[in-house]
Amino acid sequence: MKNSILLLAVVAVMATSASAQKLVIKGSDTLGAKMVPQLAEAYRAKTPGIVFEIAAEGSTTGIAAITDGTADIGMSSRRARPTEISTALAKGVTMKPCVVSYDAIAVIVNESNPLTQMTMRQVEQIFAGDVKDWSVVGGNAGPISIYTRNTSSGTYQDWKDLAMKKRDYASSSQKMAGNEQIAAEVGKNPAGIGYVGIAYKEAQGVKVLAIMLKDGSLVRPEVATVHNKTYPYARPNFFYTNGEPSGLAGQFIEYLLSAEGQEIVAKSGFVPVPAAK
Amino acid sequence: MLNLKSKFLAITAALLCAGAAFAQDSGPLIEVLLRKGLINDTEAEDLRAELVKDFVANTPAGKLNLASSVTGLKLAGDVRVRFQYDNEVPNFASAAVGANNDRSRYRYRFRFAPTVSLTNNWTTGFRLETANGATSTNDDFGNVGSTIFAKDGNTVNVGQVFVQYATSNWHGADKVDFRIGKHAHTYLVPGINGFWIDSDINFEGLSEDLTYNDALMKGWNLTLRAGQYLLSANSRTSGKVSGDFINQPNLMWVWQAELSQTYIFENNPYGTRVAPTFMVFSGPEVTGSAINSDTNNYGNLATFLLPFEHVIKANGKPLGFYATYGMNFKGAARADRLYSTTVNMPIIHSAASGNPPDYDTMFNLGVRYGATRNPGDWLATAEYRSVEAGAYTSILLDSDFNAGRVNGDGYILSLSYNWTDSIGTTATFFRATAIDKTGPAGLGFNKADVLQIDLTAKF
Repeated sequence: MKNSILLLAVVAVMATSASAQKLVIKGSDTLGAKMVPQLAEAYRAKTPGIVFEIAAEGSTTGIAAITDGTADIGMSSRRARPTEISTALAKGVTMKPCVVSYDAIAVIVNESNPLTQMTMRQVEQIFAGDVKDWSVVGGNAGPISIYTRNTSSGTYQDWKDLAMKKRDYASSSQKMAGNEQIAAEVGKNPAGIGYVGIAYKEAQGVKVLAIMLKDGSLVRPEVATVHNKTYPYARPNFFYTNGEPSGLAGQFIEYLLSAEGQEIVAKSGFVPVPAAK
Repeated sequence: MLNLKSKFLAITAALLCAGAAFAQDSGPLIEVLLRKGLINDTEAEDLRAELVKDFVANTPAGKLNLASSVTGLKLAGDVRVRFQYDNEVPNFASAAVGANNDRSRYRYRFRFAPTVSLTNNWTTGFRLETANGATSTNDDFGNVGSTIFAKDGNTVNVGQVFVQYATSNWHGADKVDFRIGKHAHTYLVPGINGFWIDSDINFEGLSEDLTYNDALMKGWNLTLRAGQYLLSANSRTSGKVSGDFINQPNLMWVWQAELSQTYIFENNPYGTRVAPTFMVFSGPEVTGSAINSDTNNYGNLATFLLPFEHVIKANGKPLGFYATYGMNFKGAARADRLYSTTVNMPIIHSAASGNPPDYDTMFNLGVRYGATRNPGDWLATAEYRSVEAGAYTSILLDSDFNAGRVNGDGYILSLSYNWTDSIGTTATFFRATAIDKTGPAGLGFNKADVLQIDLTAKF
């Protein structure tokens, strides 16, 4: 099922705000599902008279919306590709990135799985299909069931980049619409393995595997390991604007990066941006 | 001490000044700077964006405006100039002395192949080639057109146009490769110029490859290949009103199962490959004089081939032995057709009645030593081959040996030398003689000698 969430959040009563300013935000379903609507709601509470239009249909649509001029802010759970930046430049649009949060992607297995950790190589081998049986990596014998995001998701591609050396997924992998679906399937399937944002790592029936680095140390997806760059499957999330953010978009981003905004980021299950030194 | 902003500016300036090409490769360096804490993520992203902007604005490659779905663009091709000497003696016993074809040609070929890699394992491409023949890409210098030095004798044709899907771990197969359109093939065809599939041939239709690693036994891979190729979309025969079509395509079907145990050393493949193959042609029976033509007659072709190749290392260079054995299960009937002088009535094969022998087998045996990958590399090859009249079809045979005709045996000697990694010279001599020197016209030559001396530039 295509993971396309269209969330049109008009967080204001249009009839009472004929002079309302509108901020159009499009892009990542990862960011647009929970974090950005919560931020918008909090910001509108502080600054009445603002209308938010939020469309969460994937990172690609957010970057394209900046290029096309149909959004003030493009949400993206991945970095804009060079081709996207050059396409924007050709149209006179300068893609300006702003890191607004981090997302650590956790490797989850069923809670009945005896494994507690896995090497980065094993993670790659499992998701690429080199390893098909749990016994090869120290688990109970039996075929591995792999759950991934679907192909339109930015996370689908990011996981290939972060964990699989850009290789293809195993042909047997099952594509899920979102984090909830992956967590639910792994929670039901003792042979399941998948990846979810850390906001979903406490889902019922699953447990998070620690990742063994090349030096033998174990790391878990946590705020500290994301900030100190030791957790290998973490990625920044972006807001893109056309040039330096200004006006309403600039004010909203400023709020997002404030202590209050970052507190909402943390509450919504993302890793906040570390305070400037 | 430099503050963060100063460091950032210094790094940006350094990367930009280092050149656009370097700037494009700076992703890992930025990652290191991030991990070291010299810059933060926002600064890193600004830096990346600046580098892309610089690349786009200041480099020729950056000015290429490719779709975001393009993950790679490869421009490849070659230019070859050739001296070719041919001497062909007809295979009629009664042919007049001096009726042989004796000529020199000064030839060239040009091939240009843009290949575009797309997201999700798709590829598309085309190849432009000189000459329009199926088994040749050569055009001739001095082939006078409207005037001396005129250009109207020089043509560029579409040699390939295809869409390809290739990926790994596909429904139980370790690798798959599907192609549709006019495309290069992947069959194992050991021999100079491809022997039984001329290396200039681009098949039109569908090809499917599935590879299974460690199949049957550890270290041995199994690749299953199949192809369905159109010979003619709408058949036309002389039995119909002239210009009328029969809406039934002529097809060529190929199945090959390759078992291989190979490894790569210094970019050269070594090991063993064996690939039983079966190929048939299907389509309406031809009638009239077409039954005598090896190129128009698709009937009675059901050929089994067994190509084999074994490459070992000898004094640090690859030493390869290869062979192919082939037999047309309907070779006797095909030979009868080709020998028949009575239209519409193939001879019923009978050795007792004085009709030709079975003429249903073909083979080659070859040895090659060396490889041409680096400057100073050389490659020497010697091969013997034989193709009986009913064994196969000249539609597919290497066109340089016996002019691509059946009913010939003989040898080929070839020596190549690489001046640079892209410029090479090759000298090749072909000698073919007719297996049946009294056979009808079109079935080989009494003797056919060809000498080719090439200078090739690849890119």
